[in-house]
Amino acid sequence: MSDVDFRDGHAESGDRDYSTEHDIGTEEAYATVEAAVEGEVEGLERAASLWGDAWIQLRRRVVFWIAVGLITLFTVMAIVPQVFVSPSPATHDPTDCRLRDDAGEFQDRLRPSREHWFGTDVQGCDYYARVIYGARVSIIIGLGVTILAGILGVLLGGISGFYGGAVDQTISRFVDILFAMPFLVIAILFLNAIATPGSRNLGHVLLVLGVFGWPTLSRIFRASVIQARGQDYVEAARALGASNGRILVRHVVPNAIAPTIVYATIAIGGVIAAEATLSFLGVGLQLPAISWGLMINTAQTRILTDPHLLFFPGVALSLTVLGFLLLGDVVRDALDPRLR
Amino acid sequence: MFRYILRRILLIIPTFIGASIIIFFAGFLLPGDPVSAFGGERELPENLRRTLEERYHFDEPVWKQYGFYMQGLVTDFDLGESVLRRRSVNSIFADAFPNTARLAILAVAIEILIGIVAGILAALRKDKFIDQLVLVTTTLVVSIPVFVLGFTAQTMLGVQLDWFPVAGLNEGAYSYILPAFVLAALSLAYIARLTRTSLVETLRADYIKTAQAKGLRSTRVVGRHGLRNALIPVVTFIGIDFAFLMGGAIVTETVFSIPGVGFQLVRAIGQRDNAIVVGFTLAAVIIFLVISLLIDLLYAALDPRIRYE
Repeated sequence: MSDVDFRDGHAESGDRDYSTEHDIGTEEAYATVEAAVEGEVEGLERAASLWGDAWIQLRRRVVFWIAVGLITLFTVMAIVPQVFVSPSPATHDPTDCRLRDDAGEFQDRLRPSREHWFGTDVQGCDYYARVIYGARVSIIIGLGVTILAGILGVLLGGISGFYGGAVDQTISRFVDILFAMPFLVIAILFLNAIATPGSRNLGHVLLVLGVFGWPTLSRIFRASVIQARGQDYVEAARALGASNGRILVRHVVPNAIAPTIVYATIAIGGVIAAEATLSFLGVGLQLPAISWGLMINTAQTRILTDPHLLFFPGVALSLTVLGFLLLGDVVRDALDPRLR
Repeated sequence: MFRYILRRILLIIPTFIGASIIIFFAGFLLPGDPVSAFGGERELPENLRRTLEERYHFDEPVWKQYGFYMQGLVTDFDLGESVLRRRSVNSIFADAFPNTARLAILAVAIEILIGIVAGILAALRKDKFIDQLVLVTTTLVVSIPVFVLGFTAQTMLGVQLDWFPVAGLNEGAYSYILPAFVLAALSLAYIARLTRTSLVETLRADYIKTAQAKGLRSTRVVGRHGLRNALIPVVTFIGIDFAFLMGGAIVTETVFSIPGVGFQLVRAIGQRDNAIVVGFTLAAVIIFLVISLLIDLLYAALDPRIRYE
């Protein structure tokens, strides 16, 4: 560890060409040696980093590839839904809905068939096309909200944990305040306060979920920063004259970020579920937006008689959430040497 | 101990003031004019309009309205008045709360019973079949959003199999069972996983090895030495969960049409009855703060390590 800090200390004087590995805690180092003894690491020559070790663990886990598969599937679906609807014999346009066909037969709430793979909804829209196009909202919200909440959480949690004192007290009290308010209720309250139902869009939902979604991330990051701050390598860097900013960016953040990333990955799934819940309650996205939660909201009174209206968007939603949940789970296992 | 209690109680005050400011001002921004709503379709006569505005302080600036509101809340526990329903928010809350409380208590009982047992079994049979089963089941349960789970349970167990009442509270205590399971599902899965992780870690501790070395029966080792310590984080989680559930279960109450706090809150949002929205949200915050305070104090009494932090 010490030589890494030494190089960092010199880099301070202008030479920034070092590709430094992240410092590793003794626990990880110990686990790596232990794993090497058992023949689990190919070649100790390679400097073992936390994430490098995690990758070796990860790529052997089936669950990891299931998670990657699910996330890739729904992300591609969000980017190019056209590819997914093209083999369907029904209309490829999710907004091309007709209550009756040319012969005058009713086309609403048809059960799944060869033509309409997922059936049709109460408006006579092809449900397969709508479920495919619904992925976009979920993925945008999931990633967008988590990035926004992640930036706020890391920034505020980092400042809070690193500087301590009055700054920490102020931020922590604010986190307490946000934590004491039921998340869903506050989201509903603010969504209604900032936009009338007719004008509510993706941006409003993203903003509200992001602005109120950071407290847990901030708490987790704050705790890791406090732990990393007290390590010897931070003392060493300080002794070598590194500035606060440098210590934060080069030593504290890389060593403290792992639990936050794990939680953020799982949180993506939670955020996707939260958007669907808000849209289901009628306080999130509004028609004509295409969202799985909104589809279930529209079908609400028909679900008991036409269960396919719940089934397809419900399964799509759950699988998307599952993908991020599994990814977070296996990454945490891979990063935690105690579980190896 | 006394200093700890005092500190813990004092910490609640800034939290509550902060939360109440955020909620009150958000409520103020909500669309809808309560005075016009009072008249319904008809235009109110000017003098009546003025009287109402003065009586409810609608003509004052927002920070003064906040002051009046907090004064009423602190001195008389008054959550305001719904002009729309011509009833005090307190009495609407008093009608809704017992339904929410019964649902929350039953849900927490289910969480404790099933969640902890599943967690213990998984930990004791780590990496065996039962452990895998618990892991897979809990992962699946957590990925299904509550409203999807609720509707699925309602359709399958309520309508098709006809084992439980579909919605409402017409069948007494029996009406709460299915909603309580749906409400409990998510936390139950967390509790099972938390119990498992915590117990697995605790059983590696030296004092467990000592107990085993002394020749204690394994039930006693796990029960007296393992579980006692392993359940600390689990009990914390259950406490916070209970505190939140008592504030209203929006989704479950909506899906199963249970006229509790969450159900009324969603209805009030739809009707733009801002007095109820603000009052109920504040009540949920108060309940959360008070219950989590009580749990913390109980904790400090049981576990001396916490007091000296």
